[in-house]
Amino acid sequence: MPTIRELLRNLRLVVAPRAVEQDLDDELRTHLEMQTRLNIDHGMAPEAARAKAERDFGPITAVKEALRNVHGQPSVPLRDTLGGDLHFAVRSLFRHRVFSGVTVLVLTLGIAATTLMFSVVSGILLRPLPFAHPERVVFVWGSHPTLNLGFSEQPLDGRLIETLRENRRAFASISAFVPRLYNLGNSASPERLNGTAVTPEFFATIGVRPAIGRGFEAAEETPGRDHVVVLSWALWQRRFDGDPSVLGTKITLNDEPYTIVGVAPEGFAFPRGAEMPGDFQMPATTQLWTPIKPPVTGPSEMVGIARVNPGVTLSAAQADLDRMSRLEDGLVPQGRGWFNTRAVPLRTQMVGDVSTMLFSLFGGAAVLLMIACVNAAQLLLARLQSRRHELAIRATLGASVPRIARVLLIEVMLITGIAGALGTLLGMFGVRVLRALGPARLPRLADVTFDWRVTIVAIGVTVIAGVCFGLAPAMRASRVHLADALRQGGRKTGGDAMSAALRRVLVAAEVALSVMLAIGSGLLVRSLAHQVDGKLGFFAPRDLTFEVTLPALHYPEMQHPASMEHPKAVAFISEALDRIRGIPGARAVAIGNPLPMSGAQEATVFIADDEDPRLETADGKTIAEYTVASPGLFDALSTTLLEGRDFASTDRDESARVVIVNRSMARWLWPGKDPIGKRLHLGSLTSSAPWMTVIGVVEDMKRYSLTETPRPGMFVPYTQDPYPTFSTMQFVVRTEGDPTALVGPIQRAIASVDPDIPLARIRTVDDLLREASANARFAALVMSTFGAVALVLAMIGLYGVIAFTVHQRRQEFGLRAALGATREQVVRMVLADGFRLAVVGLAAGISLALVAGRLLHSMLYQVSVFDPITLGAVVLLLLGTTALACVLPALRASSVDPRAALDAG
Amino acid sequence: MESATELLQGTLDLLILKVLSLGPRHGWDISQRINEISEQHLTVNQGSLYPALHRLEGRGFVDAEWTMSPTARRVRSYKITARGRQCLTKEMRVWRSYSRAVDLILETR
Repeated sequence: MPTIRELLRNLRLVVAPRAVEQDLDDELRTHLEMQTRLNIDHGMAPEAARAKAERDFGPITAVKEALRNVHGQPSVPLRDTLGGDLHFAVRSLFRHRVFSGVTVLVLTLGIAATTLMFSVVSGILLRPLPFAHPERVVFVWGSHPTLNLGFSEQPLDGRLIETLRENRRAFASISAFVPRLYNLGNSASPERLNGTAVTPEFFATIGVRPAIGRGFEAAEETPGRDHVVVLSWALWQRRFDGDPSVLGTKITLNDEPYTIVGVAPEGFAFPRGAEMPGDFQMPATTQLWTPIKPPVTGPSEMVGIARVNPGVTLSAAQADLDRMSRLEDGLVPQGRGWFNTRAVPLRTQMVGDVSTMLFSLFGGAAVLLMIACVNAAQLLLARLQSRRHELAIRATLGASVPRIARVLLIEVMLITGIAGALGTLLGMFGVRVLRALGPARLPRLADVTFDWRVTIVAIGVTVIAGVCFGLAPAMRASRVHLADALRQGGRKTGGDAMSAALRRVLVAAEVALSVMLAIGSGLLVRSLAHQVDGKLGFFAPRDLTFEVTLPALHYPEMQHPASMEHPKAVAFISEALDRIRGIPGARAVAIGNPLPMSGAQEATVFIADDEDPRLETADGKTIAEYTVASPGLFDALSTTLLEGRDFASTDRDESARVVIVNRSMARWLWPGKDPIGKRLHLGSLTSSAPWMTVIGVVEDMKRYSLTETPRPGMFVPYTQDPYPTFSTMQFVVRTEGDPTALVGPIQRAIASVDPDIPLARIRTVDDLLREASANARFAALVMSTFGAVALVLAMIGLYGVIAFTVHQRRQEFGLRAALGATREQVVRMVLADGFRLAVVGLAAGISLALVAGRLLHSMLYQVSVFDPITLGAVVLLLLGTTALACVLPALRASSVDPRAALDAG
Repeated sequence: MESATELLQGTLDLLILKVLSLGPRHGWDISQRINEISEQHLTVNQGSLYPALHRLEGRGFVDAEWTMSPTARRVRSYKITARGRQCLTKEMRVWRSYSRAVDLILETR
């Protein structure tokens, strides 16, 4: 048992050999000097006295030599210190280029992946939102207990917003906002901007102060005073060169003058589409804000946000909201039950959906780093084993165990240092790539920055793993069995056996971890495949879609929300559809508001003309998805019309009201009956809306998400749409050939109807689908990359162990061959050895995956964690990998020349 | 000063501990004391003295610390530890019984 004292001294030898050497010199020199003085005292001349002292002392080097034996130092003078060892380590790494290269590569990948994923997790999930006390901000959603159609987030009723603003107790402020599109500039060349109309408390509520200028004043929500605007930093920089003198100047928005009163701070673009529920048609980023008064009549699309008072808990805030809902119930008895609200913390709302995905991916990266560490440790161990002979010789020649350890440590440090530097670079590059190409629906992507801390942690983990798994056992083994190792010339010894066993355990662990990752990625890929290939209800990947917004000035009916008539808008759409239809290459054209997968969603309350008691909810209200369509929409989207007829140009404002329902709606309202001829009307029981007759049933279409279950929905012709919801219209054009080739002609066609209307959000349906599956794609891609890298690492590990075992047992194989074993038998033996390891790892990995799979559960669509196809595929893949890893060593084993092998023994 | 007396293996450790039990000393001092007390019968080979000291230090029987000599030279001074004293007591008992046994044999006629 080494004492602590010994360990400390050895440590000093390792870190400061020169100081130790100096101490020895000093001590011996003192001795000589004292002896010399004694001799002088006895009457000798100084010269002679010194000579005699030295003679009596004997050769000083011999004494030092003896001392070094006590300390276990090399007898060669420690000329070469850290610099020398460094030189030696570098030379050694270069000599074993393959080993060094593979180890560095392995660690680089692990470090880069971990760093990148942690940067993402940290930027999106952990870093505080850039608002003042963001933890006090909540979204306030409408919540209607009688609806169970899956709309979890409802806009707030305009009157309720007023009640909340006036009666709040637990809240510092309550605000609401709604997206709005603006055409900036004069009519000749308008630029489409994504704006958000907000109540004046908006900036105070979210907790942001304009960078220059001011926010809105309470009086500015009054019509007539509401022509003020706050610009986003980016827009201010781009359009106004960041000139502060724009404050107070006027710009033209939708043909009306607006005074610029402020500029939001850099980076502030709330609400951003990716951070909001997809049901709300939020722009990717907000470019300007204008004040608005919540609508007192008619439907509201406003989203509520509120800032709670300091120290108020979420449940206390909810209680205050509930109190105000009851207040509203009292004010508007006929709306009782429709004023319930639900407070959701800002962070939960913004990133809640992706947190599982991101933490899973980060977990995957961490597992990959573990695999990389295990692999590196395993390689290091292999390397040490094969260098035992060299180390033994060096030890005999005087290199002490601490000295050898020091060189090895330097080697480990060099490898991890290089891998750390490369991994960091790769991680930084990855962050840039991700920010440029990351999925559009990943919230806060702009907040992702490279995280140094995790690089440091990753390198630390790597070094510790290297030391624990590689160095420590090697040191033990070399200390105990130096002599054995030397005598047996690197053949198997006790210490070797231990290292070899450890290596097998490490490789099995590596296989297990990579199986886990492979299963995870397999599940995500299968889930993605289900989403993409799943039944959408339409097939139009090459259709072109775009939006136009009708400015209120040219289409005055848009300014009167209560108006049920909008002849100019109808005329515009009708004319535009005709002109586009005339373009060569446009096969079908229609409007659909909203189009499936466009991110928008609309729903309406309605009453069915039926006595089916199941429809009688507490207050007799039912709701369904609502689409404004033109004739030919189903044709353009290649959706099947199951029964009845499509809309026709004869379905006009003055003709009989018609409606088409989807399959779910028909089954829900009239199970087992013929829906054609049944009647609906929009609004509640008391509504005076006209009855509409069902003229057709169409196939269900997924509207917002690829993973949704289609919900009941209805289609109404745009000529009869009672809601003024189509100031923005979505067009879809089925094209022949390249869809983008038609953009120019379509633009000209629209301009020929109204030159002031720009096209926006020009995308193909395929783009829309791609966007809808972006996060799933991202998760599957990242996890698959991790899985693939992990499998390659496992293969390297397996190959290393099997190749080494074959090398160790080559005499045995030679002997077997000499005794008549066929090559096949030898190959089978080696393969069996490899497969034993792989199967152990596989079993452990599958168990791990079944446990870890629970975490993935919420990300999986129509795939079970126990998905037999994924498990089967991974098993096959791993067995294939194992075979690949073992085939070379097996062939080598089978070709051992019996004579040579026996001679070597 | 040369002496033919070879120290028995292990005896040097005993002698060093004994000398140090009388008070802290540096290496040269120890060799001088052994030489003096044994009336010049025993001479300590320097090549054995220092390794022995370092070995004893490693086993925790002596402590060493750097001090300054009156001539302003760094001097390594050794001091016996409690463990060293225990060891010394035990080893002295062993040595006495051993030497008595050897005496008895040698005086047998």
